[in-house]
Amino acid sequence: MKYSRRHSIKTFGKLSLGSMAFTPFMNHLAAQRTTGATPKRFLFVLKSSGLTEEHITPPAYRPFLESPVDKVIDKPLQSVALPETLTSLDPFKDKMTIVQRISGKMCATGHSGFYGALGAFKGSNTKKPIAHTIDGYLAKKFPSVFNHVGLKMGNGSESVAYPSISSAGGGKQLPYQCNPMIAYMNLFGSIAESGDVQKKYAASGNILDFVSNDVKKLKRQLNGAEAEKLDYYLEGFDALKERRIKLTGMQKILNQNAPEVTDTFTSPTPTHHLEAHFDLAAATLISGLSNSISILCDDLQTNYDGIGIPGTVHGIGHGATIGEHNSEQCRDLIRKFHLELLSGLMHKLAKVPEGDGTMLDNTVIVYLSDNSDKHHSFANEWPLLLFGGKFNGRLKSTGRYLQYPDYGKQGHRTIGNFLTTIVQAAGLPDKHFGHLDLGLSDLDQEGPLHELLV
Amino acid sequence: MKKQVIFLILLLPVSVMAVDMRSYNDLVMPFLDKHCTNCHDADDPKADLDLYAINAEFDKIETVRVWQRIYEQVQYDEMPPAKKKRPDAAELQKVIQWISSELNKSGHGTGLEEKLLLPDYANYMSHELLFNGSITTKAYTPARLWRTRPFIYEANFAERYGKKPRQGFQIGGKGRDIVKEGDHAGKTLARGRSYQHLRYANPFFQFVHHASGITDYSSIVADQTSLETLLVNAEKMAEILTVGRAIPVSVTIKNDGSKFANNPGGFAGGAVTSFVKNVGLIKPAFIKVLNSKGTPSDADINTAVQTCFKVLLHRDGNPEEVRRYGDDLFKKNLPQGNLMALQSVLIAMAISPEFVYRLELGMGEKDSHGRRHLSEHELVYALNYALFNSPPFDDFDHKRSKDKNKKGGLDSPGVDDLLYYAKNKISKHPLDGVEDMALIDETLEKFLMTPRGSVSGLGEVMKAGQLKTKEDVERELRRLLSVKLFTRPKSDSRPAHRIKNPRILQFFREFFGYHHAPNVFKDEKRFAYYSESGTRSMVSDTDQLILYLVDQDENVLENMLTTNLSFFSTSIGNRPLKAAQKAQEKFESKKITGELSPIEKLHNKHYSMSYNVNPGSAENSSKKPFNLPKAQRIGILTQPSWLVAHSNNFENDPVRRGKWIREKLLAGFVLDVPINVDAKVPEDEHKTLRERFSVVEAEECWRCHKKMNPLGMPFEGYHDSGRFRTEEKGKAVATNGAISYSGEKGLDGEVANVFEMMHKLAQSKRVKQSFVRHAFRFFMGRNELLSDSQTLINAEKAYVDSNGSFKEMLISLLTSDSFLYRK
Repeated sequence: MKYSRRHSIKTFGKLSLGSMAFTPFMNHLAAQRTTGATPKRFLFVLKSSGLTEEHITPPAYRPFLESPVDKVIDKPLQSVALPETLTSLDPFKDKMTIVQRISGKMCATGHSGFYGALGAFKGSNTKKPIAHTIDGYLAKKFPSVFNHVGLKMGNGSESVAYPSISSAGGGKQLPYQCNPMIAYMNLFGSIAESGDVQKKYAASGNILDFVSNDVKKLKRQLNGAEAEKLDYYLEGFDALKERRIKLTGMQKILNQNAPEVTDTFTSPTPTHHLEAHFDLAAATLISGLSNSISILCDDLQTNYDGIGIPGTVHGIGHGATIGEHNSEQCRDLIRKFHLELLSGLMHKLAKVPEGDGTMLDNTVIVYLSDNSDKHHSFANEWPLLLFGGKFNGRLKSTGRYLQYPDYGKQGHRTIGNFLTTIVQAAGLPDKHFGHLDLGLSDLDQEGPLHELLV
Repeated sequence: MKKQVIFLILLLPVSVMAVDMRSYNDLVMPFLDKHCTNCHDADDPKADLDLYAINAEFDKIETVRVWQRIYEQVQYDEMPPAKKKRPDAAELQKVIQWISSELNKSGHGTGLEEKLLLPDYANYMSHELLFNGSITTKAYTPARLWRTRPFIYEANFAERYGKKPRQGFQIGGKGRDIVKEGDHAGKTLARGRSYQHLRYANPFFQFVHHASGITDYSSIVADQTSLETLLVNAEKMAEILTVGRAIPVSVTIKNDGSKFANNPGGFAGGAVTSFVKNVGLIKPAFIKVLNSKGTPSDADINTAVQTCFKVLLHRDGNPEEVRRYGDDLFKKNLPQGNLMALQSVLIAMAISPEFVYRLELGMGEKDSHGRRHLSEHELVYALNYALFNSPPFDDFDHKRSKDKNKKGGLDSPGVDDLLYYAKNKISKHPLDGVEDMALIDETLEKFLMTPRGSVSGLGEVMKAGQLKTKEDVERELRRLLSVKLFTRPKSDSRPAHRIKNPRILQFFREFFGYHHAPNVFKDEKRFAYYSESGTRSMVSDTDQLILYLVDQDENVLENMLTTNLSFFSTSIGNRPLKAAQKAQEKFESKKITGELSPIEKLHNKHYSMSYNVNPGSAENSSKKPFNLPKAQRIGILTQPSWLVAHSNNFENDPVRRGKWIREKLLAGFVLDVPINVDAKVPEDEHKTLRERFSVVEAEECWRCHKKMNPLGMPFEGYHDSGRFRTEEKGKAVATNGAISYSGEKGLDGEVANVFEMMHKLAQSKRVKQSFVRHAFRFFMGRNELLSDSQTLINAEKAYVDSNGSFKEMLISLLTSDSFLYRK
């Protein structure tokens, strides 16, 4: 094992730029070009403190929420007005589905379901994830230069956060970048021509070169087995450089699509960072740097000072009045803000032609809370918004309001079924994604939401 | 022509690499003649193996197969048969190495060399040779790199740079201060600060060698994922050291109608305003470079680089290093600005090999045996990290506290280390005028990175020139080991962090493996008293027992194997008890019969039922040990934590328990599970586990299982929840077993139950030696080599001569040549 690994490091180290074409990523790109298969992209937008069902339900359909429901309610959206905070999504009504009354009791409940929202299993912020979440899984299945990209609104100078939301597999938590400037540097730093970004990129390049020289020098002082240990570390420098080689090869496309670095990237106001994150996410999808992005809009400590709510999400969740807004109004403002940003991103994707439609047609987008429907949740209901149009010819998200039977009733479905729908729409063979709810053992819980698949 | 020759050599198949025929003729053939060919002869070869027909043609697959069979039989001590005379240990070792080496050359290797680096296979090294005194080679450890273990990184990074402080102010609540100015002057003000552990990623994952349970070994490497994470963390750290730390500040004003709740540092309701402020402790040398207009002078750059060395690597850079960091990094990055240039020096150091690995190259003096002593700087780390997870050096240049009661405390800044408070102006915010700015500033200053003192104090000792020789090491060890380890459990899932000399507890945890109890999932409905939190309490109980016995420091191992003392770290708790007492009164007044009383119900739910002990009768047992019934418990291996950790989801696991004793106490080993074995015990709800296990007595299974099952079966006297039992499936439980193939005269034989077995093992010389071997591995971070023989013999002697003192054994190991010399 050791030998072959070392061997491959050495061999790969000597490969020229041309032979990089044989990496899995490039193979994937090549396959895409030759088969003409449309790319598949995924964006998950999460918020903390729950997404209440009545607030995403068109006023005309709110009566459905009142009485117990035994059968799936499937109503069109085109004919009804969206709730006030969703109006920015009007142009995308025909690609949208409001999904109601699916549950997620196989996940942790309380202040957060952690990995549950995207993984349909019980997670915790103190334990390693036991499986992959859907964003990590899809990133693996549809590889790219960066595979998964996670972006989160943080505060102050915070850089990488580990919010226990995404996972690439058992024990492999995925990071979220809070600092838009650092995210920009990682993603688009290679094309920067002037300004601070180029400086930072140049500096970290120098650091990597300097230290890898140091490592090589130390290696010469050591005997076989010990020198070999350093090869594993050196491989890291090589890989970081390898990524840069890939990026160098993508200069044209990156130059065309890199977001403009505005004041929002460096602003001391966190909400500006969220705006920058959506810009980055759009550009990352369009330029093909990643096919699986997750944006975590906030956590319980976040404050929305920038949109006039200088208090914490936690306080709001507990009914705090912030300035002149009561708690409900604050929640409305926050949701509206998120969806306006999302709408902006969708407009960008809709402008890029792809196949016989646009890039938006080939992108699945989900907006939901990591904590189902409430600030303190029980996961009986997990309201969410799905955008996908006819994604890949498999999805039927075409302007619908879908409400499933209540928890425990025949025909009731879970967040696991929802995630399975996306996985199957992407053409993957998985029968079911995530864990089953042991409390629903008398229901058939496996498989997708059939209503949403062609 | 020349070219052709080279070409030919490249084309030669590996298999024709010359066989070492000399050893074959002089060593291997005589060995086979002496020990094997009597039975494996041409006429009536046992097991169809005719060793007269054997040859050394390793390019033929049939020959390879025969040698593989021989290797397996001899290596695993299957052959010669137990009743025949044992081969000479040294000779046997050589034969095994010859076969392994030839198989490797032929491309059908056993991977023995690689396996011998892993703790799981350390027992392959001949126990007899290690302890019979025939080897007198001077001991040493090969020059090496030892990857920083996760705990050390955590102490270095998380404690200093990985915490996110928050400051909360509440106006109008229950505060003790009064707002002095602004709109709210005169109202009460409370301040609350909290540290949130930033969820930074530890670049050095915890590695577990499963069979051995060891998590930190010098054969573990740092790789690409380590680098990526280190880089991100280093950037964070560089920012804190140069521009300060961002502290979110929130000010909450109590409105009419808002109320308190159990929210840390916050109101439920009220009006809230928050902002972020940068605060930091920046070194004067950095300030000078950062504030200089244009290119800083070489002298200033050098001073700044030296300061980086001191802060991160705790040493002075040599002139060449300082020049390189100055020229190749700082100056090269100057076009990116002074801040970036300085940060790049810090970042580079925090991803440098010296930060990632402990370098133990042997930089001290060379002796007449070609060995080099560890230098002072190598020694201070080696010794410190043998016992602690926190660094040997104090932060910055602070003076150590003269107050001896202030543990590891630092008093005041060093003379040359003036503090500089980086205060960013607070920008205007929506509720401007509300806060008392002076008060906020004053509070925030306390948020400066609190300098920390080293726990061991070894850095100071080294700086004073008193950590060079074996005698120095012994003196410091005696000082550090003189403290009492026993500590009451805290509500911390990693008490190893909180105790003095945490590595000692960690050793016993990894040796016994009882701390894995919470990882074994069991359906809690099966036992009223069983819960995941209960398993954590069980682990704390055993932690305490171990610390208690190490503090006693007499016959430590023997006591650990035979004591019936125990602790209960978790009591019932006042609230449930009071509620039950109240219900009990009602219950008694109603004179209900035929059902459990509320108190009984409460007791039955407590995890102490895993010990068959009523929690009501075990008061104060978190402070001092009490006796479990002698007829039920004997030693750590009968503590519920150990039993649960070595059980599976539904039942006992006699195989794993037996394997544990075979490897940890008898220094033996068992063949890896062959790949064609689908190890499964047939289900049968009418049979006891022992009865169901009878399937492994088939010959092909038994050749391995005979080394495990007889040792594991005596634990059938316990339920898989750790509870003592006398019956299973309505039948009296059979607890007999046997010790066999131990390699010690008089130790082998049938045992009636776990009590007889543990007493026999506790008296055994081999068990003590096995314990010494395992301690060696843990504290040296590597497997024993034959040249460590004298180290092991001395450690065993130190233990025996001191009436079973663990500390004396440890001092012997850590002052040995194996610890002090590199080659």
